[in-house]
Amino acid sequence: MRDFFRKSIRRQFQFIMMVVFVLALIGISIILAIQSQVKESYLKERETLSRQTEIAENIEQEYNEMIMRARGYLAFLNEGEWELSQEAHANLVVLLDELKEYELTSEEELVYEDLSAYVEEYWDLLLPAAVAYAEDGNYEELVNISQDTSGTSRINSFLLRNKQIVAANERELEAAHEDFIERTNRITYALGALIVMLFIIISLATKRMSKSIGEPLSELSDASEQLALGKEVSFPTVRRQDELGTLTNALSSMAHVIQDREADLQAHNEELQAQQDELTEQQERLENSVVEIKNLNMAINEATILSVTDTEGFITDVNDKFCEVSGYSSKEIMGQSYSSFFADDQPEFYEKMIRTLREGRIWKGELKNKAKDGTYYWVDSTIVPYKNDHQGIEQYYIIQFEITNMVEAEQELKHLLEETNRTKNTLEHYNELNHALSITLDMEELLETVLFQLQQIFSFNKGILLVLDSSDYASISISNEAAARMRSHIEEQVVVRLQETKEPYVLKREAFEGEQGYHEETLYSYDVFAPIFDAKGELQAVFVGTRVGLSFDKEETNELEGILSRVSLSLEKLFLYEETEQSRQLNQDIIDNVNEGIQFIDEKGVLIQYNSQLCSFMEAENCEDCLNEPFSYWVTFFKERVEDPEAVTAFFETAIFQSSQKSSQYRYEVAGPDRRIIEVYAESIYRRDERLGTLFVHRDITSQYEVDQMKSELVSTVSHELRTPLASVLGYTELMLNRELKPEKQKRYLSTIEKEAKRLTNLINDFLDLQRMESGRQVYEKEFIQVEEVAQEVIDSFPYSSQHEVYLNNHSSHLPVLADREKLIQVFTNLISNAIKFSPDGGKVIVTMNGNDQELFIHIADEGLGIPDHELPKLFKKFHRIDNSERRKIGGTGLGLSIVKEIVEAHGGKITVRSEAGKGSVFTITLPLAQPKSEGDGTSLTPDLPLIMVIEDDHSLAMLIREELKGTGFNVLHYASGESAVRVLDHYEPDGFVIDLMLAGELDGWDVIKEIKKRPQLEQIPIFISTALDERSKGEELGIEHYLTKPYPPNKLSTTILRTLLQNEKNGQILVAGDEEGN
Amino acid sequence: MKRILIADDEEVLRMLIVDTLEEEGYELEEAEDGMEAFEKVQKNEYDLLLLDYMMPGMTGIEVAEKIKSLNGKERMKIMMLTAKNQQKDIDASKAAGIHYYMAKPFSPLQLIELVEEILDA
Repeated sequence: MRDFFRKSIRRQFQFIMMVVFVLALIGISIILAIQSQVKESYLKERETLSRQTEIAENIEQEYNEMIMRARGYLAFLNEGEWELSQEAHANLVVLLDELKEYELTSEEELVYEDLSAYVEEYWDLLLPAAVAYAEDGNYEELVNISQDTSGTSRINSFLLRNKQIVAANERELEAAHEDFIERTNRITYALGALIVMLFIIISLATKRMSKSIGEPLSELSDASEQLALGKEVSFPTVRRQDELGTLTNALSSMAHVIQDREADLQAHNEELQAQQDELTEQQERLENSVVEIKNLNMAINEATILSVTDTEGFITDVNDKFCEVSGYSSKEIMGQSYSSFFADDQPEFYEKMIRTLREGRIWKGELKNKAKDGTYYWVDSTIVPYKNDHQGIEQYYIIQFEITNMVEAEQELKHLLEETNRTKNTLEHYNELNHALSITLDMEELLETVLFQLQQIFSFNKGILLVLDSSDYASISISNEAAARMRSHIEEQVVVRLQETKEPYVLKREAFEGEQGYHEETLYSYDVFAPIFDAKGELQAVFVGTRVGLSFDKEETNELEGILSRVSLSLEKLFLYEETEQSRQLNQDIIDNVNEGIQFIDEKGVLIQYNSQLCSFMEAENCEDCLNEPFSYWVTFFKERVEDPEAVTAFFETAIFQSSQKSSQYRYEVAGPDRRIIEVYAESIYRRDERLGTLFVHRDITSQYEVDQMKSELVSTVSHELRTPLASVLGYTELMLNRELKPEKQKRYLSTIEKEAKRLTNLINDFLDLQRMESGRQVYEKEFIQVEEVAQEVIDSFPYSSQHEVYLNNHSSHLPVLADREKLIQVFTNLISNAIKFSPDGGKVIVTMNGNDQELFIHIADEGLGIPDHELPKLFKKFHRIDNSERRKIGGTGLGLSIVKEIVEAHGGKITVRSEAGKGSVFTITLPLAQPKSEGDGTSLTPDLPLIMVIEDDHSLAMLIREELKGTGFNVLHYASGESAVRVLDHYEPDGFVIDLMLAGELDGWDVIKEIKKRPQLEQIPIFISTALDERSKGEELGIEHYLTKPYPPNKLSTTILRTLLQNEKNGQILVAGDEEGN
Repeated sequence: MKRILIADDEEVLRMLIVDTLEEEGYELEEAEDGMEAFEKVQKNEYDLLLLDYMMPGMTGIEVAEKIKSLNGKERMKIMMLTAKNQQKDIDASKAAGIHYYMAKPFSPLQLIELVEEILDA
């Protein structure tokens, strides 16, 4: 629908006109309708009002008529009058009824109701009464009724009110009229407004139409004019679809076509123009080229030396330049061979050139030619063979440029370059020297570098630079011996002169043989001696340099002096550095060698210093990474290694960053397989009230900590171990005290109490023993002991049992062991009793001894329960008992093995165990053997005391003798059998033998004596026989001086031995035979 | 007759307890270690278990915990009778649900009293 209008202007126009027409029609008909309605209502109202007025007037009239006629009848009793009054009454009632049909105001209604009521009252009551009075002739009453004022006044009032109503009706009528007039006027205005509105609509429509048609039309016409003038036109883009749109589009496409064609034409035109321009330009260029070629030709002739020769080299043509350069005239040149211009030298060079040319190739190169005046000039030459059609050479063209100046300049430049290089080298050496002087912190390196650079700068043949008051020096081409000689020469003579003159001096001398070399004429060498002073002006080093055949000028010595003054500064710096470095190193060594880990952190948290002990605490390898690193970096080293990283970090943070913290302490644990407890304390370091940082000192308290732990554990265990027997003792005692018991029971209780009390005693004894041993307070009475005897003694002490067989198997060398006899007995007792205890089902207990020269091995093997593998490591721990009720029943204090271990270790030995559960265990003790012939070893005999070997099978007597002899001050070796003594005879050289004649075993005392006498080294040793047998004579036969018959007082033996030994010493000889007092 | 199980690895102590309680008219049984005690408790009904703390294999605490986890034995009466009498040991016992505790060495008369009290409760 919209499209229908959009596509046509005509339709749009028709549409607008139609709208206007319809609007006008509707407006007018509405107005007319309103007007007729207004008029009608006015007429109706006017009629109503006039009728009402008319009725009101008739009512008044009829009313008056009715009253008048009634009065007339009353007065005259005239029937006519009565009829008239009745008629008036009837009319009045009709009028009143009629009036009721109209809409009345309330006042009017009131009036007419009153009236109706009164009329009824009058007609129905008053009048008949009055008529009756009148007909009766009772005029008095009649007058009374007539004179009733209310009746008259009501009549009058009604009349008055009726008149008012009539007047009001008339006023209303007038108002209605005016209203009508006004409404009519309004309608007239509305009509006017409608006309104006229509006019506005029409003009708006016109305006819009003119705009939508007129504007595009004028644009189009403008564009068309422009197009007609040939200008480029852009048509308005039109989206409309009506005739104008179509027209615009058509025009636009037409314009495009026209414009495109025009552009094509234009382009074509321009192309043509360009072609023409190019042609013109080419022509110009050609003209220029001709001129240029001419100029070039001239220039070539000016600059180039041209000549032509025939095939034999004779000149056939030259240019002016040739003459100018060579100095010859062209006449002189013509016909000459070109070779006559060659400089005489380098004939080979020319031959090569000629060869090239004859082969028909072009030759290029620089030629040195001779001019007429004998000078030489250089020409850069190109010689081109000119070939004919058959490739035969007809002539040569020689084209040359004079380059004499260039060649000379080149040579000069070369010279200059060499000079510069030399200067550059010197500068480089200076530079290197300065570099070395400023950065080298090593004396040797510094001296070497300085000397080398001096040599490079001054070209010394040899030189030495030595520091006085020290062994440091550097030398070049000087042997060590020569250098030493040089040093003493310098220190004795040169120094004196240099201290006086304070400046370098040069000595000239004939060159030494070595310096002379292959030179035949006499050469001179120049030695320069230069001092190096320190800041205080004292001579600290000397430089000596030698140059062969080349003296030193003043400038050089000044330069040398300058360099050496810088060396002096450097040396001083070096001394200072060495001193500082040494003291720093010393400090570091000190802090590295304390047992505590030390760490210093500045107030910003940077790690300034630490020692190697701290590293080893942390088990860290790359501690140096942390040096000068901030808190967050180095603290990770701790974090990664401690058990509680957060707490450790917090401790560090507080200590470092809370400056109010003066000192604090903390304990942490290093994680890892080896538990380490470290206690660290932090101390703020101040210098003049300024806080420099925090010092941390870490101390390894692991062992102390472990000891504490062990102690508390021990206390707990001991308390437990003691309580059990104590409970039995106290319990049974209480029962006995409080109960009536049968004698058997009493006995049982008492024996239990006794048993448990003993157990308690053993426990306490063992514990105290162990404590004493562990604390090192145990005193070991060490003496030389034959272990197999002790073992046998212990074995014998166990009561015979059919279940357990205990025996000794001895394969040892029978060397003695330095040991405490009682303690050794304890060892055997504990081990053998354990072996028996833990073999509840019986079996053998075998003690085996073997060994080598150094050690004795004692194995105690049983066939008992054995020990589970996991228990082995804990076996020797205090109070450790294997957790097994079968074993529990066996009882024990749990201290036996600990005691054994302590004792064995106190004797420099060790104890090991291997076991198989269910098959038995083997405990092996290793003890070091006493080494009598070695010296200064802990197990050897006390070297100063004489050694007495006692061979005695009675144990108690042996003990007695030993105690006695030891008390007198002898070393004692005791053997319980002849065999065991004989076996060790080769190992010892005692000062005396005490021998019992009656010995259990195969060998008796006499056999032993014979064995002794067989050995030359023992032959002269005094033998003391201690026996119950009186066989003195037999002894004398064998040369035995001392024969003591048992029993004898103990001190007798010792005094005899002592006296004998003293006498031997005094006489310096072997004791001679003789009777002893008290034989 | 009330039944009491005595668990202690020390023979002499078991003997002492038996001697103490026998005359009071209890039926007494013995166990040499924790495992045996546990097995006996599983099989039989006891009115009271006298339990040592330090025993091979299983400690008294472990035995008590195992018993308490058995069905129907949650309320089993257990008395700890031990030389371990530090506060931490007592606490550990309580944690294991043991509410009676007597330290070694103990008074047999007091033991009788306490046992009566427990069994009457």
